[in-house]
Amino acid sequence: MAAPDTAATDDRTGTGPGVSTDRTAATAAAPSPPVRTQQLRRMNATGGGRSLPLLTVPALVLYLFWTVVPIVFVFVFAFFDYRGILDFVASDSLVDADRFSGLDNFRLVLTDAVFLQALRNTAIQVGVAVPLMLPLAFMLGYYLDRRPPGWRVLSVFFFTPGLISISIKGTIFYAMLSPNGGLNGVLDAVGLGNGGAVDLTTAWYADPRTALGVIIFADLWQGIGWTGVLFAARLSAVPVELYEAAAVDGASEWRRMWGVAFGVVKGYFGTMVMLQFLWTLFNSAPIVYILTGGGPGTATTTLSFLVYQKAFQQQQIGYSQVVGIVLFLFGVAGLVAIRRAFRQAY
Amino acid sequence: MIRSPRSHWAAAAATVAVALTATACGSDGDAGAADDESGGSVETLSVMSRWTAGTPEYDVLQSVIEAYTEETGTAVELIDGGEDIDVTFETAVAAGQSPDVVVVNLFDKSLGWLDAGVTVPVDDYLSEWGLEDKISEQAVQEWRVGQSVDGALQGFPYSGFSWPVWYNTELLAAAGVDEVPTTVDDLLATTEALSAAGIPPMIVGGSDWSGQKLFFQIIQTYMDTEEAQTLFSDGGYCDSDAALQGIELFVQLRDAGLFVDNVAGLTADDMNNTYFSGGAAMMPAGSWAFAPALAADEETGGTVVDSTELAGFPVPAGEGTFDEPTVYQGFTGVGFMLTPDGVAEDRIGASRSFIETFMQDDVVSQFVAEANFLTPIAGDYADDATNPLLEEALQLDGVAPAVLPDVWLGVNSDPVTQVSTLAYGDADAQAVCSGLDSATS
Repeated sequence: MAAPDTAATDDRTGTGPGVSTDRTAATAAAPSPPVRTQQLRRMNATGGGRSLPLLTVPALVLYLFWTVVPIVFVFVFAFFDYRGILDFVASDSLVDADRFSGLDNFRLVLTDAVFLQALRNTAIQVGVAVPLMLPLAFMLGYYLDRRPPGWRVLSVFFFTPGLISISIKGTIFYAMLSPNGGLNGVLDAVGLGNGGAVDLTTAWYADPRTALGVIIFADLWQGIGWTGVLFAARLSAVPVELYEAAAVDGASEWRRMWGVAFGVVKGYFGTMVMLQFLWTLFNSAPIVYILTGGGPGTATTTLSFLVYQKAFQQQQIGYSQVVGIVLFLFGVAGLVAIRRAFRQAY
Repeated sequence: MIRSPRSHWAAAAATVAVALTATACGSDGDAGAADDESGGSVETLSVMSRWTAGTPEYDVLQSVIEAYTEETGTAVELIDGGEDIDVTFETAVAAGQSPDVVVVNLFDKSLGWLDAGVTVPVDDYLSEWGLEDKISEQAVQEWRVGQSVDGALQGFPYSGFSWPVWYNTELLAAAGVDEVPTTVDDLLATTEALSAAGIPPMIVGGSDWSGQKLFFQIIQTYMDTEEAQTLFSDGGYCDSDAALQGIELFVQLRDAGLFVDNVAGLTADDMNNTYFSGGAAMMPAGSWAFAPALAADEETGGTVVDSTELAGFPVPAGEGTFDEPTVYQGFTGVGFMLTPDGVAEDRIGASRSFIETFMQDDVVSQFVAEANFLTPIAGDYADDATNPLLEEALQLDGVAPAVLPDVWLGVNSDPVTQVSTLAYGDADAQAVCSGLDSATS
């Protein structure tokens, strides 16, 4: 391996002499996670962290009231038969014995074809979007970290979809994919529309063959650039010497990306996988609602949308809460699996 | 009946949070009426309306409210509920901020408000306030729960509608069609002629309520009224020969090219804009589109209104339930509902005078003239119907009334629209009937 070339590193990052060397030193000196845990526990035991719990009280209270209590009620309401939001208002208490329905909601959900379709759609959405998004985002982040010409502008450009509200995102996709929208217009213009040799135009978000693909594409459109910029930020802390050493050893760019960079930030990669998994699993309802309304038929009804639809459109609160529980369990199982798969090796 | 395909996400989320909080705190739902609690006279009446700013209806509403305030001294807090008034209203109620009067159409969630106790039956007020002779019996009947004579009256009906098919006779003539079709065979021939002439035949919002209504209008071709109401309400389409026949008729018309390309992805706005600009020869649209059609012609110098002939949707000759082309007609358009706050002892007087104001002849005339209402209010308002389309709709004959599904679908309206969108694609009859059964269960 070649000796670290500090001057070259400083030129690359543009941060001035010494910064990269410090970063290298800091990285090299960073303790492994178990060691760090032991150090922190020692510090807490010797009094260094005794006032710490007090500082967390406000956050804990908020968390308890706005997160733990509602989650508990999700499980409780699954056993009750409330007919819509107004039924809550009409009740004297949140838990009305007259509305207790035992396991009826669970039986109804687990035998309902709509739920099973939503389960399938969700599996496809998560199973396609997350495995496609993260590697592409990582490669984009790696590219941006190499500081290509205009990388700052590119970073802003790729990050922008993450700053766009879901309503605007829906509007953009509607304008592009409606029957009279941009994509069909382009296809018409190049002879692939109505009257052409092959007609590829369709009602993209109203065609059962393409509608779920539109939802997944919307996820990818927003997620790849945004996550890529986050990867670039994390990769900027990877010592350049590692790449240089790998290059000297004859590693290709592909090997440096996946054999070196990925190995160093594997834990961070896992964190991003977790976040995108959760966002895709839990937050698909708004974009489904805006673009397809869950249709055509049930082609884009995801579990997340089904929770909304049953609670707010069809006034079946108990049903929606059971679906919420299923989502919650999937979320937990997914987190555990992802954590195991992407645990940092050192 | 008329609503946006999308309601406000944030409002929906807020409903849960507010409902939980309000209920947990033991709210009885009558907060927000400070005047009630003080026992003082009512200075402000709270009114939530589905007529949104920028529409002719809203403009008339505002002018009437100004006159009402000037005459009575009671201010009106007007809340624009918009097309998502059901969500807006339920959010307000959950937060203990119920309005006194709701101006709303009888559709989807509003059908459950009386049962939930957030609005009150108005049977007694109808007679006490002398409105029995003022509002048509048919309209009152349509506003009763289940449209049954024994059902409680959910509100005072105020606007009706006619929902014919619009035929652009200029475009039909350009395709060599001299008369609007009255039978399915005529319609198929018309479709063929239009397509051959390169004119898009019928446009409708296949992805929203407008497409859903036309879909139900067609599939009930072989059902009698009672069966239609039962199926719309409880499902069972796949077990009904009449329903399957109707769905197969829809599929036949669709596959014959009746609808414009990619119709499943279109909305009611697409439909109106395309038809108003001469981009399609036929569309099914209600009387609320009369004023915008006239405005569009005035703006563009077009002649669509003059070229349009209103008629029913063609039916199979010699078979099916209907002898004549079908239209939706009714009075579930918009009416006045009263909430428990609105009938509180010290507010009922203001609510009464507010509603009585709208029943005055000059006010009804204004709504007919400017908002092109079909009114259920007794009186001769024919001279006020100056819009040629409204005039034509009032004299529409040779048509049979179809069963409007709204009241019977109830809260299943949105899932059912997902299925009708599927039907406008290329789903077969079996997939459509299965979808309907699933959405209705």
